[in-house]
Amino acid sequence: MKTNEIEKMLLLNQSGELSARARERLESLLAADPAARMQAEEQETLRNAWRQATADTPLPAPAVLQRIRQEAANQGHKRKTARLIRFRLPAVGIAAAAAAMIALGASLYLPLRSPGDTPSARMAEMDPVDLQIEAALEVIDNSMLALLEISPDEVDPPSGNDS
Amino acid sequence: MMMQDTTDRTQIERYLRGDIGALGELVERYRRPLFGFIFRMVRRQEDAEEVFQEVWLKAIRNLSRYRSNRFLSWLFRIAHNTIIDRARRQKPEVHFDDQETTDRLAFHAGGSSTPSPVANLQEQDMHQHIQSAVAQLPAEQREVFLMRMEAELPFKEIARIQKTSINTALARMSYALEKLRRALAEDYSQL
Repeated sequence: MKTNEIEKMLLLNQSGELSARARERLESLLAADPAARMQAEEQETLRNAWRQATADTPLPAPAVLQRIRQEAANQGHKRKTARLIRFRLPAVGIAAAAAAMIALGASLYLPLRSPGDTPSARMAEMDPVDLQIEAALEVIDNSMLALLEISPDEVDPPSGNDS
Repeated sequence: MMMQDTTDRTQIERYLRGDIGALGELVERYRRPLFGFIFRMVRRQEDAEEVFQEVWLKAIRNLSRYRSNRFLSWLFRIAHNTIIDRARRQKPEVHFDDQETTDRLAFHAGGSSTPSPVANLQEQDMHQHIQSAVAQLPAEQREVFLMRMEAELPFKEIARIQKTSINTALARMSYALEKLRRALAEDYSQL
């Protein structure tokens, strides 16, 4: 095997990328070939020498690390705000719309059902068309009760203040 | 390595959920290999700090899009691209295309191209000598050498970062070792 090929196999073996079969082949080659063994030893020596030579490699200044942490915090804050807008704003919008609809319904409904308001008093203030509608609805109600075989007397009279 | 990848992934998720400290742990874990690599590629402490910071800022801004399973390789890919961009923007001290330029690069750490006599080499000199020899390598070879030595990245990842084949990455490492052997031939008796 060529020196160059042995070197590549040694490198791949060192990085853990050699297949089991190739590793076996390399091991038998190292056992049989002193030149291949020397090459492996040289690689190892160089690696160790490099580690020793760079043990005191300078590190980034604390101010650099501080700026990175600051950016991490800023981005974290931005992400939080974005999440809030994406997920909570629609919910808040829906809740606000629902509240507005309830308020609108209440504002339309409550004037008709103010305390002390009785059906007869209300009917006195109604215009004739409304009275006709009210009467028609009563007929329908009674028909329904008849269908259900319930006497109108068995039904609770409407109270003037059912709120 | 697999275990480390899982830890990295967990910490990234923690950070994305709002735990700023988790990011600090990642910075701390990879500070030495990443800065060591950058420092030996750009050669000056101030430049290395700027690149280191830029790499992390880019990483932080893109963390939510990070899908890979090898965080360190991802960081090195950002570093590789940042160094190339920087070299293109500035007067190219690190040049990835021009072999002649890279061969003419000045020695780092005050080293000289003339080897000291073996007899006078003390340990500190030998350290400088090996660093100088690595600093003299063409950028692509130096990069492969440093990615292996500083971060122990697999050749498959190195090839991906350099956008080349695994065979080319291996060949670059072989050339680098061969040149170092020749440059350090006189020191070998002491190593």
